[in-house]
Amino acid sequence: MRRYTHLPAARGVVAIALFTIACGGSTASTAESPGGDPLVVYSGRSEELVAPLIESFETDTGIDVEIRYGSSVEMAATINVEGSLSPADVFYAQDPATIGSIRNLLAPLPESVLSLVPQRFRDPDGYWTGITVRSRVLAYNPELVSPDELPGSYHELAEPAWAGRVGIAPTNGSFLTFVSAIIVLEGEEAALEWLEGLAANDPVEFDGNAPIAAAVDAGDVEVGLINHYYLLRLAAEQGGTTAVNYFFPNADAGSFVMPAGAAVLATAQNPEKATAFLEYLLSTGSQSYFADSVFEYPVVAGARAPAGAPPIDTLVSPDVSLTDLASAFDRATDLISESGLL
Amino acid sequence: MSEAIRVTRVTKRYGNIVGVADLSFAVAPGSLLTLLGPSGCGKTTALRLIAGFERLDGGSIVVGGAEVSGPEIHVPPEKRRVGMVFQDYALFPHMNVVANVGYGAQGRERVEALLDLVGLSGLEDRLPHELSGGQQQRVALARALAPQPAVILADEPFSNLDASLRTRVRREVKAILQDSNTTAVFVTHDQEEALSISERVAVMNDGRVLQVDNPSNLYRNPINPWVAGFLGEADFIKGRAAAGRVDTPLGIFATDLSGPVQVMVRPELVTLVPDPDGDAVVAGSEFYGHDQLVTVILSGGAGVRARLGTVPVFAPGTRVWVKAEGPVIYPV
Amino acid sequence: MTAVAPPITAAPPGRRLPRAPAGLVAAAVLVIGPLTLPVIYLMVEAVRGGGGSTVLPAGRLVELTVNTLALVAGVVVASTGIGLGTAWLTTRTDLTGARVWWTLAGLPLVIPSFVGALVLLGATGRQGILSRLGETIGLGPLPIPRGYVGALFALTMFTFPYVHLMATPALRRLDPGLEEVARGLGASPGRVFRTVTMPQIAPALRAAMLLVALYTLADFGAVSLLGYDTFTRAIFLQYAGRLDRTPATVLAALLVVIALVLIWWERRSRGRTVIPGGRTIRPHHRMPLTRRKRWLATGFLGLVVVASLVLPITVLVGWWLRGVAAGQAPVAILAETWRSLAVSGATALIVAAAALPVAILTVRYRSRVGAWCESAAWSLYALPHLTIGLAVLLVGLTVVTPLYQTLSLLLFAYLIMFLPQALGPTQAGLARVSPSLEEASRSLGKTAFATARRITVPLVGRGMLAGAGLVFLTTMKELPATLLLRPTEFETLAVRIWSTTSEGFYTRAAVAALVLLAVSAIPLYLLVARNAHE
Repeated sequence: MRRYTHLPAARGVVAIALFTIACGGSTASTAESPGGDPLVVYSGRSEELVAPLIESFETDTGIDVEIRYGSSVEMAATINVEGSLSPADVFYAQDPATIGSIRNLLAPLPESVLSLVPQRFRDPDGYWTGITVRSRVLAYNPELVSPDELPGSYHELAEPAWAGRVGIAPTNGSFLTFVSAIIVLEGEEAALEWLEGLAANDPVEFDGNAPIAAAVDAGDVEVGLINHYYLLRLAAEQGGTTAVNYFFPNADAGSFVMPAGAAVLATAQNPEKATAFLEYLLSTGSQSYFADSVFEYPVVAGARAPAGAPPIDTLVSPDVSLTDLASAFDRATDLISESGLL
Repeated sequence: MSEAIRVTRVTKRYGNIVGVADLSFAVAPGSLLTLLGPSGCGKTTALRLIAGFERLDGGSIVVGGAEVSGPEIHVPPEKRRVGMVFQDYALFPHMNVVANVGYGAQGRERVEALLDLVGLSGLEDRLPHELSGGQQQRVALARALAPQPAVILADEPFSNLDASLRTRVRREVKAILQDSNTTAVFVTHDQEEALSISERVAVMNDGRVLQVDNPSNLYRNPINPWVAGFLGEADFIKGRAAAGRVDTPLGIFATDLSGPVQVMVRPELVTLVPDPDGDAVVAGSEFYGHDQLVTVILSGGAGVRARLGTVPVFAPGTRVWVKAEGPVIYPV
Repeated sequence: MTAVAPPITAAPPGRRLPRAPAGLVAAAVLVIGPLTLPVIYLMVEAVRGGGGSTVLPAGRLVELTVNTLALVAGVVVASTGIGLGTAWLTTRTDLTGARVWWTLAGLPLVIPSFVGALVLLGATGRQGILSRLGETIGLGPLPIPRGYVGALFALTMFTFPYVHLMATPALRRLDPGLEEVARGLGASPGRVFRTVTMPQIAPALRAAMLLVALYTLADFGAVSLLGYDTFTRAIFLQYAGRLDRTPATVLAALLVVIALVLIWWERRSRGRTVIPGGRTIRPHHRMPLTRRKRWLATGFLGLVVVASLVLPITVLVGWWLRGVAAGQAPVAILAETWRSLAVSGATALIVAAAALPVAILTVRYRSRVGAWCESAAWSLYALPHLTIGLAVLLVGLTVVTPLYQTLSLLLFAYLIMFLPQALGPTQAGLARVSPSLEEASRSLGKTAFATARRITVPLVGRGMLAGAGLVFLTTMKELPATLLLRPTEFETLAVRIWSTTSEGFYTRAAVAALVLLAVSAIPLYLLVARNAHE
């Protein structure tokens, strides 16, 4: 009889389904840790960079970590919208403006953390701390652009001469901080004008900085607005790059030196573990990792500097209040939308 | 129980369309009644109402002494003990013969007995698509009989069979029903089928029963010209009746009607006598192998047909005398 | 196979469908009702927050609309041209190896559009594989086809199989007698095609074109990677680039309206299409090809297969090998593979079961509620997945908060997005089961429920399995809703491909993509091969 010939297959699928639902009925859980709930981190930095740190943190402290990756802004918006429902304990952002924009959801950090970091690279009121420092640069491909062609300041990139030659990542946290800095330093009107000019200039848009670095190096795009460490990492991966970092000579938004910040959420379920995590990120071992593998500038005094990058005190950078920067963030996103880049 | 089924003044409407209207008939236990009529006359609707697949809008249906459909009551099909044989047999394609027949009944013995009854022992493990049309039909019948229903309903059960098989299968099915003393209602548009196997036939048109009677009476005394024409070949001659008789080129017939009338004669009861002085002329003839149908023009211009044996041959133009028996006279 | 609208069947001749039992209606409403709530909530939220000026300037909105519709139009035309061509050549001519070509033309369905875009990025540009090849011949490097051209190519190459697969049964069912009559009356082959063949396959073509249009409208991955500004891309950029979620919500609501307009317009122009129930009595005549035409046909098919199958696989394998040669550690994606399989399997099962009461209600009974349920389900199916994801996210954050970031919420979103994919084949399977079988069962003493269990479900089983298989495939490829709704650390293959691509790690993306293709290919092949016999 031909009855129910597909029953065994159906049974198999049922088993898988029930198993999946049982596993996923609650937030995906990892193995029981000695301390109970795992630490939940929302990271605006890429998995490639952060994962090794997470692993060594778990090994060294025995604390289990659950980490969610996305763009800085997406994570900040998620935290914002989740409100008190948020399962996150730690927010690790790519840039200061994004993290500053949700200060009201963060818990003030203890002195044990703040004392490790120079004032320039942390929130004045202690709500978040920088972990590493980076500089904005214009990556360029010398085979396509000769050094004397390079613009004196980022303003020139909105001019017709640069049409179709510039790569940007408009949703990237560092770019948003960059735009926020323009607002703080030059005002909204100037910012909007520049953005509109850039938008009309046929820019090549990417989802993140790493693809821009790769594209400039390959010669698919002539220049790109990114952070300094991407080309250094690319060079380490593939044994050298064609593209070169160009640091803007003037102390304006284009040469902004800024921290990547982390904070503990006010609604954190595991504040002690969260603090421990931040302390770990600021430990000598981690800071050396950032310098050696990621090529970012460490924030803790006395730590090793990244090879191949100009010493940090030689870098020109505008003086921007981090509080003002955070306040300008919302307008920055609005203006980017208004200009047509989004 | 004097009646196995009684249908009383049943009405069913589909929006503005009338399915059946004021339908009434009864079926005696152990007998076969056939609902006969053209497509769309409501016979299938009537059957489905008895089975419980449709709800009626008025009237009542009583099966086996219990009311199953009525203004207050609608017994669902599975509770009615009414077996049904469908036009497309509706054998379950994923079950073999035994599983099909045993679906509504308990026990292997009953299944075996029924297969024996319908002459299909030995085909237990076959699947429906492995059976011939006639075999499928018998499985459908066995399946319907298995739960010992009060009544068997069948919707055009023979129409899917080859013409050559039909007569034989009809006879066999009739025998099975008689052997098991089963009450049955069949539905068909084929008058030969209806007349040959039924105890009684109900002729339907436009949702109504026009006449119910045994086949012989029905055929000989159809209640109106339409029924007459539906049941068999019929020709109509106009005449005028007066003083208890009507005078036609076919003869003088007694009648109670007066005024203009039509006289219905059936070709098989018309005889021709060749005679050079005859008042009718042969117009043509069609040869059917076992008989011939001769068309004749009567004096007065009316045409009439005669179904005769193949000898003699009637050439067109031959003059003949025409006689008819068993006419039925209707008002115009 | 992949219908995008309910198959409407004529009631058995001479019979009107009975009224539906209350229990069945309740079951259907219980299934469909909750599925509509998130989108309704989305629309309400959009209206509430939409007054703000922070959404987008009107000029930009117009630009987005024009861009989106231009892409939709281009992809529909291109994929219909290619898909009809491949279907025709492989079913109606005597081309050698037609069966093989036919299967090959259906296989690109397994490749998600974002992988297609990824392949384009990897094949072109100075380091791209095609550029390298071109350099050996002396051609310059290929520019990366960002924008309209790239998006058009990426989408067309992986949606034309829908047209190919949906046109095939229609072409097979063509009555050769009609064409013979036309030829006998003196019409040229071209005229025969235009006036006799096309009208017969028009309904199937129209359904396929609608499917392609909706797919393009909903596409998020390809247009993002290639930088072409459509509505979906804008929605995601607003979502990922701003603290305030309102602009994304409002744009999503607008996109929902556009999608609904599209399907209502198609429904109106469709009329009542009846599932062809008859079988062709004669095998159709295969048109013989001249030698020249044979070369042209083979060339065309070869080009299509190269562009849609050979190229993607070559690029992906090339990337992978390049990474291996550079000494990169083998990529660990076993966990993601398992998750993709498990969640797709679970969805397929749940969806197939949920679709059954709705299918029975709409095919066997006459029910106004049933018709609404059906329309609602198909409308939801037409909506872009990103909007469904956003809507469910909203609901998860505000209404059913315990479910936030759980797998159950993700499965709920999948149910909304994919129910009609199972509903269609189940309805079609059910329509092929004669109602007299169910009536026979009832006349033999079985209740309606027992009849459904013993007769209806086993017979519809194959249709349900086809529906489940389709849902499995589509869930494997799903990206935007999964991105938004997944629990932390729950990455499927699709999500992994996406995140590694955003970071520029093309080798890892390539490995994950190859695994995704491999795992999807088996059920796809079974589904396609099964349809070959239909």
